[in-house]
Amino acid sequence: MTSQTNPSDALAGQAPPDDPTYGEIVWGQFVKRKEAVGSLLGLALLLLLAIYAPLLASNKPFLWQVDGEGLSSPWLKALFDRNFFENGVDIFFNTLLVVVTLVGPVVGAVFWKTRHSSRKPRNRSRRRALLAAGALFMVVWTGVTLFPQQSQKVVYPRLEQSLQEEGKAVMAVYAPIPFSSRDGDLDMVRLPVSLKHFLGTDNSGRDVFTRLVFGTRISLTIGVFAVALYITFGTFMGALAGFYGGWVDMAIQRVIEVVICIPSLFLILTVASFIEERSIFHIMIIIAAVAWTSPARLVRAEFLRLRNLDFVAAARAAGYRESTIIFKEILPNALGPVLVAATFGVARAILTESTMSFLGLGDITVPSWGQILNTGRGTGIWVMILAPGFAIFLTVGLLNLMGEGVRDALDPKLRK
Amino acid sequence: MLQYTIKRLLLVIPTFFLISLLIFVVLNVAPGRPGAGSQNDGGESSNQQQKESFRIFKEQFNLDKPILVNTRWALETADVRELLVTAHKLEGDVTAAERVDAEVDLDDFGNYLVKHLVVLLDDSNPEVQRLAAATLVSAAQLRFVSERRADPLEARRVNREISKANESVKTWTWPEGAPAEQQAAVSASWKDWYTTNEGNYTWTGSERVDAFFFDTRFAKYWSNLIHLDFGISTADRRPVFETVMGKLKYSLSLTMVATLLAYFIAVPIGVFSAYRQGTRLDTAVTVMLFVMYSLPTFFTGTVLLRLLTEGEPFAWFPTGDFQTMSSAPWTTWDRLKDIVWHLVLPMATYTSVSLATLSRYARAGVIEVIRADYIRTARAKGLSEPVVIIKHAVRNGMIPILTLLGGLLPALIAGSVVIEVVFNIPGMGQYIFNAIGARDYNAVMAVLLTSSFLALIGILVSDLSYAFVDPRISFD
Amino acid sequence: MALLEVDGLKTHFFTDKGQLPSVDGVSFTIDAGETVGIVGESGCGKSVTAMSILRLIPEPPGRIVGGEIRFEGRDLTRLPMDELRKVRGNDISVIFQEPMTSLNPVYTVGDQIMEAILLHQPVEEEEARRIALAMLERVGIPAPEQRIDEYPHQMSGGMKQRVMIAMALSCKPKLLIADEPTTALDVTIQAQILELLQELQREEGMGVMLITHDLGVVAETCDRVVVLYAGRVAETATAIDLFDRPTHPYTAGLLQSIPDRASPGARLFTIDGMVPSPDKFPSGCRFRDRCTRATEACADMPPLHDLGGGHKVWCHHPLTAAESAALSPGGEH
Repeated sequence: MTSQTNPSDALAGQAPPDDPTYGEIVWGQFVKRKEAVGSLLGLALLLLLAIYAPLLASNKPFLWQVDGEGLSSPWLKALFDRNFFENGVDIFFNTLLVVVTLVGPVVGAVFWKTRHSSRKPRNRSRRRALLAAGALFMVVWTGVTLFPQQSQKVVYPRLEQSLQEEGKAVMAVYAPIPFSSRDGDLDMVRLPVSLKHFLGTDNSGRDVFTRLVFGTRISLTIGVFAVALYITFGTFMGALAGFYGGWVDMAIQRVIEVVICIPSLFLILTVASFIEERSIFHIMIIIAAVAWTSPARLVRAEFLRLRNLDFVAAARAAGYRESTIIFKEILPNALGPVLVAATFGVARAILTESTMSFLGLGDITVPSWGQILNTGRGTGIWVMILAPGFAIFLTVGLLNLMGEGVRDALDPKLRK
Repeated sequence: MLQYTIKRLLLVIPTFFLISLLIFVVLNVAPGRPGAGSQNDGGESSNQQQKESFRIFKEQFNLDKPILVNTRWALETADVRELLVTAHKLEGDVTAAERVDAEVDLDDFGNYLVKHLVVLLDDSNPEVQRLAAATLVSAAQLRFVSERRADPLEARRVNREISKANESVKTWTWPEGAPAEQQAAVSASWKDWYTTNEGNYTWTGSERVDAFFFDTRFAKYWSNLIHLDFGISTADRRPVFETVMGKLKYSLSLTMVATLLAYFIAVPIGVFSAYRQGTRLDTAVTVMLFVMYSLPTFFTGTVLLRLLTEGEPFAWFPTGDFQTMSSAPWTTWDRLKDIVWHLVLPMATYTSVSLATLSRYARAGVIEVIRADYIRTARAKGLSEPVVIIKHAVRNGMIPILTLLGGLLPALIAGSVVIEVVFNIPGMGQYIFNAIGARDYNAVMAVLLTSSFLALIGILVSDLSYAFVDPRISFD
Repeated sequence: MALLEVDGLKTHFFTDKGQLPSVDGVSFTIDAGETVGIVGESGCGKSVTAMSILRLIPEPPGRIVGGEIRFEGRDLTRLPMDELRKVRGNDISVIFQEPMTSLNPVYTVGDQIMEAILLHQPVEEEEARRIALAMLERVGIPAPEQRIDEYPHQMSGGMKQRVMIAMALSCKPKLLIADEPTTALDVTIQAQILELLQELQREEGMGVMLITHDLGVVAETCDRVVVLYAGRVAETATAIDLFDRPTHPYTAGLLQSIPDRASPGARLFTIDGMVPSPDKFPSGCRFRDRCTRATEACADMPPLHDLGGGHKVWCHHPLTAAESAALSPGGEH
């Protein structure tokens, strides 16, 4: 109607472009760095490897049929079978396998379709998608944990062999690497590297490569959960110390000092030796009990710095409760260094766990990389030394790289 | 400065107190009786002799004493009778757990039972009488005094006396179904013996207070600490303190050399990297440091060991140990060379992680410093570049990595386990590792305390040196 | 012969955004005994010019790519490094803007002054200390025997700046470059420092290159002025001439912007727009995007107009005498 277009009129109908939030700024900085993105992708791949490990390596066939009758999938049935996957970690990852495969594409589609929307509706949809997926996961996992299955322990390759000897026609479709991480064939002890066994076999006849692959599950679990544990605890302690100061601070600092002084590995090994049947759970707690001091100090330093700033005074003047001030005002600002520490922490936790396993004080029932290396050291088989060493190096290296990426992304002086 | 030093030194005491408290708690939470490894069958053993050695064993570590406070002097005869009854299933229903508990109590209460057991020799139940006599044998045993305190000769003399006294009562029991005269005779021996020795087994008022506080694991632990009496190792039956002191020299030399090496190499690398930022050499160095820092030490050590020692392609170094054992008299110089030759690989492994970490911090520190204004001032004054770097840049840039020393020392001490185990060096790391395996808790405790103390001193030195180097620090 | 002759200096920075011509053809001279003010807004290249003289520009990413800097006849840009170092702190000294960070925090004030002395003068430590003490007293620091052993963090900003001056003057340089020496200080201290500088200059007969964005300071202390804009000289004149007869539109704008000149209640004058960043310099006259007098002709390099008496201006449309006169205080608006 008007002949002159006024710029502000044209924009009036649309939503104004969103100013980036702090999180978005940091993420933006992160993706501008090749090494950071590369390491994130690498870790994502590792995670996928951990989740889909049974798809890659399993001695339960995908499909099984004898004499043309009774088509079944022992692989599927074994996914939640406690006789085969004895460890809770495996059940957890197998649940992830199922849920991620089923629900993953849906969540991915939601993320993809919302990529151009404005912030509020986009975050809402994405959050809902993730929550739904998470809820589904919890339901399945609770179900599987509460009602454990235990069917017979059939070792299919041997069954196949004996059936064939009997003259029956067996149709079995196996995973690309038809070995299990825990069933060993005592006829095939200490085989060298071959096309069949990429990294040979160990003292119990188990395929080393399969164990290496499943070892990813162990390392990632320990790393992530131990860190989640001690970061939470450490942050809480650090926040208390930094915020309240005075004798609370002094007391917490003394405790921190005490824990730091005792050489961590000594203490870890001592406590680990107390436990008769060490499980991953125990190891995580032990590692966490010694490592919490690091985030505590970081958070304390941040709180000491931040609590004198004006926005805190403003919050107090507005009448906010202290707990609100701590958790909703100051803490989000202090999380930067914590995030960096967490990433490096996962790397250190993995190193600690593998050291423990190397020294024989880890969880013997699971295929830990450190343990494989220990066997290698004892028997002198090079592959068993180099392969897990490389696996550890790869994982730790990617984590360190990502940690540096996060740290640089958070640094305002390094803004690109 | 002096004030600050004194304050920090004083703070060491409460911190060390807390450390020893924590270690005490940890060691007492230890399940699995120590020495279980040295027993053939854990748990039930009908063999009297085995039981006896286990009891002596517990005594040595004060494990038969209550942890915090001791109220055993307040026992009633009826309680003791109850224990005997439960332990040997004489009356009523007793679960296995209750029986074991009662057995353990009877073992542990020791001297406190004697008074009541003598009374029970006249109990209505003959079985109780018999058991009372049998239990008296072990309950009457007196403990030895520590030969590691004050006067060892005197202590040994006293212990010989005690040993004689202990031996003399060992036959005063009777088997089931023994004739009445035998029973009476043994009972009489005990009662006679008791009239003479009553003093050892009763407690006066003040003695009771004393026992309440000080006849406990906790109190004995502290008293031992103060006297530097770490007890006897279950593995080799020698005083732990001596063994640890012997191993200390290996560990200390390893740690100190490692620290010095790390700093001496890291600082130049850091400075170099900072000045040659972005060049290919800098990138190469950064990558190499990154690799060193991401590889687990046990891996590096094992690989180096397998690769560069006898038998494998490059037999340049020995397969471990601190030095070659030989009885031939070597000159100090030769011995030194030998030690260095042995230590090249372990040192390389040991320092790799700390070196990498320090270099990166040094680099970051120097990078930040060379952007500073006072560096520009120094150049504007006409100072040559080397002087600017060393006198001005490095001096300031190194301050942050000096604080790292505090965290580095405990980490290095802890890491010594891996190095010493892989390379077979007889230091404290290997010692505690073996001790843990053998459940030699005295040794474990001693190493934990010693290494914590060292770490504490290290942190103290680091804090003080930081205050010394940076004049901006105000001491409050 | 002039003490310092800057002739067509070009200092460029080579960054990810390309080659930035921060100083692009700057020329001026400084004689012994005179104070020359280098004036301009932030980012116009004044500091870079000053730093270029002693080649204190960080080598990556900056570099002197053209021009000459003649000090007592010698071209500083071509001097070998060890020769240049003899000049630094000795013949030519610098004092910087931020006294808080320009002194090394881990050495005493005395150490840092003595360092300069010991480097350039053939004296022993004792003598150097004596000289340092004398300098501290000269710059007006009370209780110098005490202060000489103190650390920078124990002093106030003003005192630190005095120490910087003491350090700069300890070897009796012929030229002092003062890069915004009072910007970071309180107004009262500002006056003291400026007074001190003037005193010292009179005593020693130094040439002083005073870099500032504050025209008030220029009016009080400078004999001649060089007005820089976006890496080039816009106008240069004696201080009196500059204030009486500003010829370049930019200079005129600057003078008009001084709040003291506005009549009470009137709206304050501003020059529209902002100084362009070095990667976005327009071609020809760099002021043309903000200039009210700009025409198409301004897309070419502005010509030089020599108005005599050392008054030069580079502009296509310089102000006439009448226009400048109208801008003086008291004239009509």
